[in-house]
Amino acid sequence: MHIPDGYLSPQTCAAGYAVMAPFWAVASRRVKATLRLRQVPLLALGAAFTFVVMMFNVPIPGGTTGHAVGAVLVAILLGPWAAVIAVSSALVVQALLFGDGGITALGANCFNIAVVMPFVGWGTWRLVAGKAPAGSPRHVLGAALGGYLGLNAAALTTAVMFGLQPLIAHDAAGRPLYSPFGLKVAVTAIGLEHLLLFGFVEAAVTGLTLAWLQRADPSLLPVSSGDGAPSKSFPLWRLGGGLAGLVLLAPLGLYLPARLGAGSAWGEWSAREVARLAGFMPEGLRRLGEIWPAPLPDYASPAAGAGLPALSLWYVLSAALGCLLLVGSLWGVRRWLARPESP
Amino acid sequence: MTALPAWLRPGTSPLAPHRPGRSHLRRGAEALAARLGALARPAPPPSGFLAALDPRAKVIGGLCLIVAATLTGQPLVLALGYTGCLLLAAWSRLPLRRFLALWLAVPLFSAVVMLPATLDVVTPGHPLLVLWHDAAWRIGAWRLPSALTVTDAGLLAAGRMVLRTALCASLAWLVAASTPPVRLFYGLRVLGVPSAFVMTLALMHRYLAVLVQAAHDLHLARLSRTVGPSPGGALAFVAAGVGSLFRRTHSLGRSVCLAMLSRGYRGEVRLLDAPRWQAQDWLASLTCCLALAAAWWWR
Repeated sequence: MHIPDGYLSPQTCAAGYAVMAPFWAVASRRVKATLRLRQVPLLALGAAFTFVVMMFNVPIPGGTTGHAVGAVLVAILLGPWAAVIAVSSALVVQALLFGDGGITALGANCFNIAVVMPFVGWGTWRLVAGKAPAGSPRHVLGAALGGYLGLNAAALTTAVMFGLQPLIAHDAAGRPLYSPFGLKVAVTAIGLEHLLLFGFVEAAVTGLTLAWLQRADPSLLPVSSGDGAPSKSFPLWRLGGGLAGLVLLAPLGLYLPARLGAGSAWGEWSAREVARLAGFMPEGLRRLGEIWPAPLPDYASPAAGAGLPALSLWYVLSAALGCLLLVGSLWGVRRWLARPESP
Repeated sequence: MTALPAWLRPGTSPLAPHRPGRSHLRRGAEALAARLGALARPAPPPSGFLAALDPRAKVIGGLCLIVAATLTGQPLVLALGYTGCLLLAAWSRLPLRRFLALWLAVPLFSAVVMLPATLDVVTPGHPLLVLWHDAAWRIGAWRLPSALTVTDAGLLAAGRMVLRTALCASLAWLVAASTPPVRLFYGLRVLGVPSAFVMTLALMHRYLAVLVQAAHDLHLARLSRTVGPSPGGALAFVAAGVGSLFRRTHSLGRSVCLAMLSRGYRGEVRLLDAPRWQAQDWLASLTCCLALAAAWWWR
């Protein structure tokens, strides 16, 4: 997932650095506030740990070996903001000294591996583990699930960065100036190998390492303080704020394709688009398409106008509704998991 | 002074020579030994042109040239820059064998990645070479395209990418190989990187070798207790190894912190030998900035 120099356009590289700048600033402030003077040695050693974790080979089917990234493990053990600094430092050293990953692509690589991966993995782990005691298997399950989802989320953002290049940087004849692989190829190629192979390696290493630490040295686990409850309450209002921000940004999914002249994603055509592309309406598609008439087709009311402002409003409403449904069902599952056992 | 025997030098693994089908433990131990060797590499000769430059000038210059290479789409300019890197390495008396290994390996690796981009299914264009036509090949339920050709647009896009990647990697290597890591990290300060972050990088680099050595020892200990093919608990070994390494990391971090505090560390970073900016540094930085401006102008 380390993107080398030359594959991403200057616009993407600049956007990578611009997106990472606030993350680095907030991470420095947060880590400074919590670790004080101990921050530098602990963080430096944490960064070196991240670097070395990537060198532990795991045998994978087919006679070859792979390695875990370890960003989710670091996020669980040191906290997600410390992981941003530690993994970014490891990526800087890899790019500067070992040529692993590009210097212009450093911002993009840090966003994928030092932000998306630890935060998705850490959030999943917190959601699954909840307030379970430090020795509970829920922590191991959460860490493994977090490793799998975190790596796949990072692989997806990497693939999207690759896949957008032919759209945003091409010459007058339409020939790509940077990575020539479109979204369809990039997401399939990168996504499949991580979904089917490397995601499981990451899950196994993250989960089993946490299980080993539970047995060997529980004092190192972040949940072992006090009575086994997490040492700090989960900042739900911040998660809610972030989610609300993302909901408000949802109309970007309408504006960007309109601006770039992109059509529907490959394989996600409506029945009408299929009829237009293929020249006829396949009978099976028509029949199956009528089974479930979605209440909000294409995230908008059937009565909504075709203008971008009206569609944007429906996009925001649909995103909010989807989030509410998801959070509500997860909250229900969590309540069910945490129910007291009958005597 | 008597030189160390070959088997005692950093980067040398005490393992027997390679055999095909070697286990993941052996591969891991060899990779860690190689990384230790890279970390213990001697400092570049101070007499070379690049080594004599201020690290800040090298960071500015390297970054400008890499961005310029990213902006440039002309294969001829990229090829000239790529050749120029080789000349610069020779002029700066950098280890040419190591540079040549990278100089040749990076384009080969990029070419393999870019191979599908030469085909018409990825990059449509004027066909130059027909691989097959009027074929009806299937792999299970998946039907291969009836015709497949290498296109001129595909070759141009792939060639440009290979040259650009190789040039960027060569430039990064020239900066890294001509500067001791701590001074290179210090050079990052010119880009506005906070001193605490620079110190984190420097400390990380200093203790990296300790942790790599610990990981190497873990692999060797396991290998020395394994007879025949590695048993099924490979994942269990990796998990225990990573966990044990984290314990060591934590305890080392606390010891280093106490040692720093006892020597007066209060969160401020001071360098003992701050480098001085000289005329040649101005010249090198300005030349690289001009190259970037030219690339921006003609992009």
